[in-house]
Amino acid sequence: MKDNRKRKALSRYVDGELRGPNSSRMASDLESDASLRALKAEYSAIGEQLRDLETPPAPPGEKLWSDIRRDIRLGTNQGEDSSAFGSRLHWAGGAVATALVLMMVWIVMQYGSFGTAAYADTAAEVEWVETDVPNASTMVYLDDDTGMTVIWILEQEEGAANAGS
Amino acid sequence: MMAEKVNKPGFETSKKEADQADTMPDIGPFLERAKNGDEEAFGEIVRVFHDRVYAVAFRYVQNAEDAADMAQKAWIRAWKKLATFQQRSSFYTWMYRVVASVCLDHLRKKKRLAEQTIPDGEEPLPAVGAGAAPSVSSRPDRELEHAEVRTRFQEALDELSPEHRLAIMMREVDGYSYEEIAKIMKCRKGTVMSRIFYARKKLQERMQEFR
Repeated sequence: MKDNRKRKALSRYVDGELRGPNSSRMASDLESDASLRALKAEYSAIGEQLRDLETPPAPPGEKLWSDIRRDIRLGTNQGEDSSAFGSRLHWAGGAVATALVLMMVWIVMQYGSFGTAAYADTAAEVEWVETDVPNASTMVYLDDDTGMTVIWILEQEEGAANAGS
Repeated sequence: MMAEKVNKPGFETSKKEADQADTMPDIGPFLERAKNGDEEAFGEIVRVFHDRVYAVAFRYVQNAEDAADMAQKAWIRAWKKLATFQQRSSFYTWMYRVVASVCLDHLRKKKRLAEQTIPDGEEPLPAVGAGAAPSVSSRPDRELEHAEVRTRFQEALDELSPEHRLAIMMREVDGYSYEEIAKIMKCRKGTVMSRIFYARKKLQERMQEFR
């Protein structure tokens, strides 16, 4: 019996889940189709095997209950501990966030804004760059993308560039 | 809840389940106290349902030690979630869902672990437990054959995915309807139908190979 749809329908039928005309059709198919009847018998045998699986006796209830009670109490304590810890962590996180905001406000008040402007001020402090490279020319500039002060050293003789920042 | 299953064509009601429903003790007073945090009242409930919860866990994990662990985990989860139990179903039905959910999580984890540790092409070893073949000495042939069939069946069952195994167990052993299984497994009724069908198909094919 290869018809998968019929097999599926049979599976529902043996479970009492095939209703109405489909159920009647299956009943009539079962009467006329020996292979379908054989499959139904196999499905029944599977059910019997499943019901026949042995279950060993349960371990003593008292031992189980003492373990459960221990875990419940442990879990409750852990829950309290973790919630207290979580609460503390929450407040600590809030305090750190507040401190960061205050620091950012202070920086803005000091320098006017973040990023390039602040770096621009420090870039102006670069007055002299000394190198060991003979005949090298140096270039100091502020990189707009990174906001960093770049010191560029160009070797005149070989035309190669060494860079540093 | 399961009365609707009776008298449907081709349906075989789980006698075990019906018997259990008849013998359910009244745990109402304990339940109320347990919901208010009374550990001792909860202990009484554990004692009443311990054997049944363990049996359900064993059916799913097929290993005595794991079943005891699963039962314990299920009870702890039940204690934590007890406030959410609104008594729309019986306590046992609710507890059954908790055990099934704990076992399903366990089986999924175990399967993932097995997939990670077993090299490709190698067959996992059959589970040692209830299905293990008994000693062959002094057993009559028929009994030996029966034991072998049981072992093969156990192996075939172990090869099913956790979802397929639980679905067919819930249907065949516990007698739940597709709709009830869908609620327990938190999936669609069509998915349950498909899982049960494929579980049957695989079991049937494996048992045919053995014959």
